[in-house]
Amino acid sequence: MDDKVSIFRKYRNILVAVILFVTADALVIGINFYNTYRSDESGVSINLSGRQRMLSQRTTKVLLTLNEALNNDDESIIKANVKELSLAVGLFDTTLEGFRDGKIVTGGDMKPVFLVKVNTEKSVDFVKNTYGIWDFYKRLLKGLYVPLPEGYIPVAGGKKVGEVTDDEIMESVRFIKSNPERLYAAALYAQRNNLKILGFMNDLTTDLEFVNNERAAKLRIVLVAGIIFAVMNFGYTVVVSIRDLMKTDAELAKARGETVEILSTVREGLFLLDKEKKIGTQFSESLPVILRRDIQPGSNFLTHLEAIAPKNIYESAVDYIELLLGDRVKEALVASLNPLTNVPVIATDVLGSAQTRYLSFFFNRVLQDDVISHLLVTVQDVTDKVVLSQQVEQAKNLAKTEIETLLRLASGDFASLQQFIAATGESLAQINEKLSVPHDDVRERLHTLNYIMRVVHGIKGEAAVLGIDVLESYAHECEKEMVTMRESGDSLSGDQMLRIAVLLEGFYQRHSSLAQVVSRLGDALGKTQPQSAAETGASTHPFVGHVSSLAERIATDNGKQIEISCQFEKLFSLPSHVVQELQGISVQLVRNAVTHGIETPQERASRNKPQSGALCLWCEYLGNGQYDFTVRDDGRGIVPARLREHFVKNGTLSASEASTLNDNEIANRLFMPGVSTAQTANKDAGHGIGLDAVLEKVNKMGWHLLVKSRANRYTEFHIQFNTTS
Amino acid sequence: MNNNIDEKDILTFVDAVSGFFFQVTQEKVEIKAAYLTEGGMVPSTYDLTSYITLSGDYVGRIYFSAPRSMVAHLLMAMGEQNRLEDRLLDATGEIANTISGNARKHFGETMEVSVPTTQATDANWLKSVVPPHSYVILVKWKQYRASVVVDIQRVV
Amino acid sequence: MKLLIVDDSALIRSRISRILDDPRLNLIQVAGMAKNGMEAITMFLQHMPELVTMDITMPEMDGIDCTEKMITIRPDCNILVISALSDKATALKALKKGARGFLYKPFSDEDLIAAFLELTSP
Repeated sequence: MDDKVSIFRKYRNILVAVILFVTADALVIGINFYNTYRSDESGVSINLSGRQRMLSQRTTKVLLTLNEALNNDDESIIKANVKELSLAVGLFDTTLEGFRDGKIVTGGDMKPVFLVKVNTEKSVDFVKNTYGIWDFYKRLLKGLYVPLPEGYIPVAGGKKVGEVTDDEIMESVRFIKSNPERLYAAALYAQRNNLKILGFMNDLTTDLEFVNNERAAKLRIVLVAGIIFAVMNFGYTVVVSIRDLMKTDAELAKARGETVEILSTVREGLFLLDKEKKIGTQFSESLPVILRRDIQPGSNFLTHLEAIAPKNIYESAVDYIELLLGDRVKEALVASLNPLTNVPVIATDVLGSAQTRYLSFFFNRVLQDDVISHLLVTVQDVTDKVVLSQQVEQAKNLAKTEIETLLRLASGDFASLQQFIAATGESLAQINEKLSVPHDDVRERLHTLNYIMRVVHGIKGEAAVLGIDVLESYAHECEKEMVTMRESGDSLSGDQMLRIAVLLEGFYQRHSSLAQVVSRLGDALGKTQPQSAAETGASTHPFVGHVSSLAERIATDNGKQIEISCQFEKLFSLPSHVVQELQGISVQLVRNAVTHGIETPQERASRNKPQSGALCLWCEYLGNGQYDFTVRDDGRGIVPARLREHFVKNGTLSASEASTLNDNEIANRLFMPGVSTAQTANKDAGHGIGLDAVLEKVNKMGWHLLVKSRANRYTEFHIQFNTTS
Repeated sequence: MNNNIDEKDILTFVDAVSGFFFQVTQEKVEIKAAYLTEGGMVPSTYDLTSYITLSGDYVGRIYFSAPRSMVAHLLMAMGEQNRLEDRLLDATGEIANTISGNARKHFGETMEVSVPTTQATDANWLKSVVPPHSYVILVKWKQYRASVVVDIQRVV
Repeated sequence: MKLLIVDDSALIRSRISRILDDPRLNLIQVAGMAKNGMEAITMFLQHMPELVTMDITMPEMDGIDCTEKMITIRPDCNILVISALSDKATALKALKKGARGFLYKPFSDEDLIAAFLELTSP
């Protein structure tokens, strides 16, 4: 929109009225001025035509006086009257010429004045008739007076009419004395024609006055018309202006009304932000509601933002707003950088409890004359949207888990999965059973906690082997929490046992959804029965693949390199429950071997060992139903001196205790709950659950565990059992 | 995942019971065990049982079950001479009422809670009404044992 | 108009120059392609381009320093930052140094064309 045009339109009517007013006034003043001038001219004419009458009378009187003085031969009177006659005739003659031709004449005050030539028909006639008498009269008067020079025009400071020298007077006196008949003739003519001249001059005066009055009347009419016009114009201006103003006011009020309505009904927070980051005077009623803050017009937006937004987002927002208010960046090309989308804000609700909401702020430049003047800010509460998308994300993850499982199934290892599900269900039931026994003191609770941790650790290991991330990571979470509980030691309370029940419930839920998926897919695939090796025709036991990938993963996670070899043919001939136990145990032993036994490539290099550690697993038949299952690594070995130092350092043993225990006793400590030699805890090791679980399983099955080791050479775990017993 | 109940929610119910006993006798209730009813592990029912039914954002029931001797002891501690059956039932119901009040405070006014139902029960009663995935909290007050069974689900 | 493409990925460099074949961008000519900040400054001084596409994470002088130098040399230069940065604060830093706009990697052909049209509009 072009403001200049709209302003012109808005004030066009007033502008026209003003121009008319000024023009009309100028016109009236002009006419007035002209008329006044003309009126002055008329005044001169009227005065001078009056003077002509007087001059005619005087001439007549002077001629009669001269005649008498000549009879009495009174020379002084003759001289005075010659002078008087020269003045009267000179004035009369030049004034009459003025009336006829229009010229400068001698005025009433003997000063030069312009006499306008008569212009009405009547006046022209009167002047003409006067000349009819005057021409002859002047000829009769010749020699009796001192004439003016030919073509005389009075000028200021020049010779005046009637200014005559004594010589000139004496010349006329002598002419009169020598030609008395001429004086007599002139006097006679004057007596006969004086009245006629007076009449003509009278008529002229009347006519001039009439013309003058007529002009004055006209002037009055013009003035009255001018005033009327001015008043009308003024009235028009006022009416038009008021009408326009009222219209504009109405439009403004309407616009304001609409703005107020928009601002009071719109759900978003809307406001204008100026260059000082201040909130404008008008903003939507939703704004304080959405921001949950008292918003004052003119208050600083950044102050409000700082109070609700996380610090890093606030800092980015300050930069972003500054950039938008500047003219360097392109608005469309920075919108993606708006840091204020889905901003988590902490707010307290009416009940005083804190809750997280999500707000999005959008900024649009407002231009005035192509210059950025403000930012229009829109604020939305997007909590529902964000929560929904988080839920969708969760659902996606869940679906991903199902697909993961599906892929495992498709990879043909259905039997292990079914076994795992059954075994895990049983483990969970065992945990629940332990929990259901009333615990009278901390010692009992700690005992149960240790037991549960071992079981959970076992589940974690097996889930890892099968790649069931959902259970592996949940088991890891549970383990972490239980480690914290165990550390609280003496204060382990009944409430915390309730927490364990809640964790168990989570386990049940995950286990049950997994079981459902497996059973559904199993039905679909027709694989409801675990398959034996003979059926699948495989020559390598499936556990080889599982344990290899587990070992590789742990090695990668811990920055180690390994080479793994397995000899598991004998497993095919063992009952499935035995194989399952062996698998569970070996998972833990492999975990230990990679995290604790095998050194980092650098460490190995410094000991002249190959960079990759060798991990071997095998199952041997010793005869007489006797088997040996071994896990061997060529790592650090179990070194009692090192263990002693470690146990003292982490507070498991006091220095004196450590020194009283012999090497065997120190090594046996490895099989007690809560012992670990890893530096930091991660999913693979460090929680000190492991060897105690192995020992418990071995004992439960009535098997034997044998450990062989040499410092910096190897560690071997032998599990020996008899299938016939 | 489908059941967003955590130990804080459950403790609300146990604390209600604990608070009730503490008010009367300055002796708190101790949690002895907490487990799930998974796999038919529903505890034996004590002589008197009271329960409230929840609806709204959460649905389910909270049971409080205690032996007569325990409730009688409680009445005695309260200075109540009359320890006939209906008084014992009243007192048991009163405990369920406290649970109900705490629940409303904890879960908000959107939770609707029924008036308690109180009855004398035989040992297998809970087994017949409590579904799997409920929480069992065994508590002890003085020498007595009682149980709080929490069977609630969040309605999403 | 001359364009300098600054990106350490050869793939992105060739992609940008290929998109410039679009008839809507026929006013833009590639003056040079640089794979790090130092190279970019050399080419910038040589060609004095009106347009620059700028990566942020590059070896030997990153996009932020590079932007700052170019703006010092030629203040009316139009720099479009193209980066995969998920960190908005870093991208904003480049804009504070004088870049005109920002485009996320990965981008579609249309995204880049629209960005160029916006960048070259008065």
